[in-house]
Amino acid sequence: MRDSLTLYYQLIKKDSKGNIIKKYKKYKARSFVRQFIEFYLVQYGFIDATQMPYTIRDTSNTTQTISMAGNFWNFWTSNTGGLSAPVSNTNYGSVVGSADTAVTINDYALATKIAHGTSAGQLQYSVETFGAPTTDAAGSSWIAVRVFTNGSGNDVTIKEIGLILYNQYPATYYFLFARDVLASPVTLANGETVTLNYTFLTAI
Amino acid sequence: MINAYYQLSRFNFDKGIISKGRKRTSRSFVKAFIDLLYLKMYSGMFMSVTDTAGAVIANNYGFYLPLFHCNASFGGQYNMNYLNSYGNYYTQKTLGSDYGIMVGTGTAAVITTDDNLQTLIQHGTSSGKLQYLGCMIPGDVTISAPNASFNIERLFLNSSGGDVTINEIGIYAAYFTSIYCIIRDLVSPAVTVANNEYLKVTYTIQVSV
Repeated sequence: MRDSLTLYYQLIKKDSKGNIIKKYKKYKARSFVRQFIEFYLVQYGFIDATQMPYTIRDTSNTTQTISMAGNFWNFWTSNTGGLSAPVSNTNYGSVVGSADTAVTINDYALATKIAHGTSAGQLQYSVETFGAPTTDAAGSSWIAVRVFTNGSGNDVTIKEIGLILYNQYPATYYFLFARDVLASPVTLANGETVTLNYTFLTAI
Repeated sequence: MINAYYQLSRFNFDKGIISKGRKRTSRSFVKAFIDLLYLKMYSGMFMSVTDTAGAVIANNYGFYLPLFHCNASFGGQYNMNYLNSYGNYYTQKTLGSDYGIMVGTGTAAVITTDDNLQTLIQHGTSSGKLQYLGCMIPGDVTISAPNASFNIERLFLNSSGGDVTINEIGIYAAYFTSIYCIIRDLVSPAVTVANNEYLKVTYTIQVSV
């Protein structure tokens, strides 16, 4: 069966000079998780926290009441939020981890998120960038891209990936939207980078 | 992945359920959906999206506003009034029959760039019209591993005095001052609603791991 909205991911590993070492297969992400559909419901229903509070579990395993109604004028010029993570920020945007615990619909965080940095076991997170939507007869799509660089001095292995949304109203919360365990772990040697491309696609 | 499904049922108060259609896979999130999702995720981004009136609207408010609002009230009632940060009502007056689940008579194949139903059935009681009742989300998200889903429903009443035939359905979502078609599906075979019958259209939005 063809999906109404499909999320794909692809990893591209490069050496320190930017040469491609390996372009991995483009996989269908299996795993939007429950927070995505709950956030979606809030969007469809225009949920107002004062009249119909709705709670969603954040990445710290705390249920948070969110609302889309009311106080939006203060924020409309902001260029953060969503998946638009800045450099070094691991709270949201595309994230990577080192565990391979099976995905469940109730996952609210990566099992073991890799921290930003240059110490052992860490990776440097770039800014999240986006490719604007494109449309053809078959459908529409856009991509979110983030680069992870290993400056730790040792190998770092990625086994899981995910997408985390930054919710700014009524307070700052982070919600896991998608999580996948890689079919084959990706090991980065010191100096190597991996680019993670997420593609959101609807098809007719 | 996300899947959308739809189901059409007919009933009246004398006979109860007259027919309960098969639950079918919605094929057709259209361009505005992916555009608005992009706006939602890429906060602060400006982007033009074509609304149901054919106007190209520049948007950048994605993160703070509901992009997929479809809780429309009864067809003839104005709604979409809400408070801004200064305590003032934002008085965008939109009829309940302007958004939410919509029905039409068009049979043209769905294409990616559809920004409208082909031939929208109007709200009313004259020939060829249906009364658009409220569009609602009747319950919470249902978790049944490996799935999570919720429903969007709308009732339509035929008081036109004759049959009305449904060939297409969709969801119009209200966002700020505009309305966008985010889903369009052809209904095949067509569903004919007799006078005094109700039509219930249910969309189910589901994620699965």
